[in-house]
Amino acid sequence: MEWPGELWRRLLFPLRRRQFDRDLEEEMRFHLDMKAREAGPAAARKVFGNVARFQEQSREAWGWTAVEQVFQDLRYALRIMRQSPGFTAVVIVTLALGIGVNTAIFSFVDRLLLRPLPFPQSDRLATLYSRLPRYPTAYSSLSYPSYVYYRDHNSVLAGLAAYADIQVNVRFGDDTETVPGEIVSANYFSVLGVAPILGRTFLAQEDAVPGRNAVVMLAAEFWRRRFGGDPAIVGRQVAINGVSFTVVGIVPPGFTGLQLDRTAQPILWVPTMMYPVAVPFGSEWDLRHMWGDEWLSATGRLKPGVTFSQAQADYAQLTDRLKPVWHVEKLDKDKLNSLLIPANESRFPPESRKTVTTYLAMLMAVVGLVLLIACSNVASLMLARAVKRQKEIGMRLALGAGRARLARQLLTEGLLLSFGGGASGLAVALLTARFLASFQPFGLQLLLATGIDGRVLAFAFSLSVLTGVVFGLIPLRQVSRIELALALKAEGLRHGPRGFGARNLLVVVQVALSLVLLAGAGLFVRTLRNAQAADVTRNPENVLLLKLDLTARKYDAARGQRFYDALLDRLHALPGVRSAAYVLVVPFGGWRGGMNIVPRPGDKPVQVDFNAVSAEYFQTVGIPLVRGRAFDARDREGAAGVVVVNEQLARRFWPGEDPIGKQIETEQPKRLAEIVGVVRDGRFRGYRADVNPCFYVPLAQRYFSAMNLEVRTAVNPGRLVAAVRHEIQSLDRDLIVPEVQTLRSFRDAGLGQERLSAALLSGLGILATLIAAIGIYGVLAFAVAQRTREIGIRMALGAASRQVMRSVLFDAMALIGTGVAIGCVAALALVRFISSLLYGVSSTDPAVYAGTAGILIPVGALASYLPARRASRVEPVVALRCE
Amino acid sequence: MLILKTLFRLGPMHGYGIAQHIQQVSEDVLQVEEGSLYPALQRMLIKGWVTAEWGQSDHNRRARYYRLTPAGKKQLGVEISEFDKVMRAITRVIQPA
Repeated sequence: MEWPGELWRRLLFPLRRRQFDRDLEEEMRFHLDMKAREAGPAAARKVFGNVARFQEQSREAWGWTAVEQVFQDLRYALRIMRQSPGFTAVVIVTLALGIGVNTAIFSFVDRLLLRPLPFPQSDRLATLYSRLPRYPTAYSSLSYPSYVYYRDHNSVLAGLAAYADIQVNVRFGDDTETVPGEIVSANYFSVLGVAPILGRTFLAQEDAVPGRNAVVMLAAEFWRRRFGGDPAIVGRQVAINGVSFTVVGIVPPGFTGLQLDRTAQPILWVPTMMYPVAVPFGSEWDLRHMWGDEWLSATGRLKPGVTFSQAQADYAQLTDRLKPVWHVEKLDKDKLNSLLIPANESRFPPESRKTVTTYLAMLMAVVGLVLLIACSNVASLMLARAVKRQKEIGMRLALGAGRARLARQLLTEGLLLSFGGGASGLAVALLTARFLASFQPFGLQLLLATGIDGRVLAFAFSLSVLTGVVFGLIPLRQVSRIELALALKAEGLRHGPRGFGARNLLVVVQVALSLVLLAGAGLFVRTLRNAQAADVTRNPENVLLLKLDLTARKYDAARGQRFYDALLDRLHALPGVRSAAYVLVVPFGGWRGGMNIVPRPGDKPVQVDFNAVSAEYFQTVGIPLVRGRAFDARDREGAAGVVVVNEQLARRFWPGEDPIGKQIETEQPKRLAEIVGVVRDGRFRGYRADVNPCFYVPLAQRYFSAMNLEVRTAVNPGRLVAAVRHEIQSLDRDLIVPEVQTLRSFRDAGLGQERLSAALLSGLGILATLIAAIGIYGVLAFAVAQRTREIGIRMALGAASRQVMRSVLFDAMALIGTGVAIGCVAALALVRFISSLLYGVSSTDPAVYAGTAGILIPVGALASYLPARRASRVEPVVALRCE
Repeated sequence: MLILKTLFRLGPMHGYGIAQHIQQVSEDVLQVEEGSLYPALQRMLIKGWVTAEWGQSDHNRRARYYRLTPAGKKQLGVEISEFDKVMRAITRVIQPA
């Protein structure tokens, strides 16, 4: 057998297809004619048989039939879709939304929990963590000498790399850019298994002496943006924090290090021994011997054959040997536990893992519900259409189409629809993911690249196939039950109660699921409202907030105070600025200041919240002054110590008395201070925190080198950002000015999870309700169309149109009512799982449920009104004649 | 085998002619069904045992003539010897002992 020739001829067949058909036809005609000559035309045809069938069989010999049939099916499916564009659009949009939101949430789950680090054998990487009994959470910080000890004395790791985030100023001529980076040990890239795309990584001797080797590696993105991808970059100088660094290599694009918990991708890397330049305070200490300064994280690669538990045991043993050293250094770490965590599971703080998992599980469940609703809606549309198409399908069966072939055809239609939905779903997913990432959920600033990659694509694809097969199979069940004779009769469309029952069930399910989503949305909207109401500040959208960190500038207190004052003077002179102030702890920022005070002489010290603010603070953010006065120019260094307290502190220590004029003793600095004013209570850490007793000291009397500047503006604050930056830079051009935001966006960033839940669930709830409304409308409209004849008879027999309408509406409301009831029960059962995410509202809040039903029932009634009206307008004569 | 043999004996011939020939030679014992003839011819085209070209028939009409290729001749040999083997086997089985 000549394989190549045969294969070649087969492959060429589709190209010669037209010619082939013509040849075959002529050949058959010739044959027929010859036969006719011999025996007469009728006899010839009789003997010859079905010409079309022979031609088909001849074609089949070439082996292309299966492929051709797929194309036929596709063409046919497309034609069917074009014939009913409304149906097609509704199905595709519904599926796109269902698949889209699922894909978006999946991309989060994948990024945060499933996807391993993009390094070779990343499952062999382990990060060192420690846990102290007095803190609930594990942390990964190490001092440099501890790191070196672990690195050099362990027997289980092929290498242990250290790293920390830094932020540095890079100067280009007169232009200074503040960029994020990492300070890393020389073996960092080799431990991770990342090779530079240009140049080399750091050498061990470049990471030996503090400040000696000013070398830097740049991110490929930064290299392209700032240096135009110049291949001669290696060896060039870059000014970082005022020191000239030599570029030694370029890090591959997309490298983001080990941690996800950051706002921006690191852009440059310097060796740990460049800490005097890159780390604030670094120049003042020899960090090589500072056991108490824990500024590094460490991740190692297990030696081949070493298990995690072996490595863990080794790590714990080394820690025990370090404990005496720490004890000598007066570090309270005798009870420290060592914890080795796989690097793939520690890409964000491990203590957040549970929250993130719970939350993502909830989101996955929610979007799963949406997909269920979408599917049930499409299913009921498909069922309705399958009934309509019974006649067509019966006809095709009668003409000799095989049932298997027909099934394949229907499956093709289902898959085509679902792939249409899936493809549009990708667009939905992209938009949704971008939208969701903008909320910065989980209270972590996670670097979430919201792209669609192979894994996400595969997920969307499998969802599409799944839904397509399901939808294709629905009409299939109908096909297998078709009785030929019955289907072809005009009366064949009459269907038994079974199909209708299934559609009713689907409507009930849709209404119930919508109710669950809407109830969840209601609970989260209430939670968000309550959370925002817990913020005492007024109109925070008009307040600019930025962090000023003078630490790295090494100002002394007097110089720092002068800088603060000078900046305030300049800002006040800016048009559009109403007031400006500094505050140490911004409310809702996730932490609080704490200090011991002695409220009355002789009392035991009590720890209360503490904050430092400048004169105009309360006025700037809008915290109301209840009694007395706020700070002013009198309260300077050297003047009598003063404090302002909150109502809670006043109530706690002087119940029923006027606290103004009372004195409290503060611990740091140890002195007596007089209470001059009382302000409204506020929460510091976040909205869930308790309101603690709190006092404020004037910044002028207690210097801090890092403060938050808040500027209340009379105009749109966005317009003042550049001016404020300019004033700061003109006072000190080397000061790093990070992102400027409004107080409101700062607060809302802390509420990311709540806002995301409220927005997502509301959006999805409304979506689900709409889908359910379409479903109700579709089912009823179809039912009315099917019952036209029956309704006609009833009206001919004297039923009033009002009665007909009432009966249709009654049927509809029965469905909706059942759905609402089931939905309430389901929601009550499900919300128990999310009650820990709620705030200020009970998971069984009756108002939420009543409100939800109050939305769903009118929407359902509206959706059923149109078909009901159509039913009431049936003309008996027309209805009876129509068949 | 029958088609190949026919083409071998007659030279290039059209489908109708092949059917006629087989019928005549076998004295109407073997009726070639058109439903198997044309698909069979297609299969032989694919295998490369025959080629097809358009030509004039005896009645001055365009007809498609099939011609045996060298590969076809080889195949005919193979099939005839196969057939002989089977025939001899059958004969031995049905011969009275």
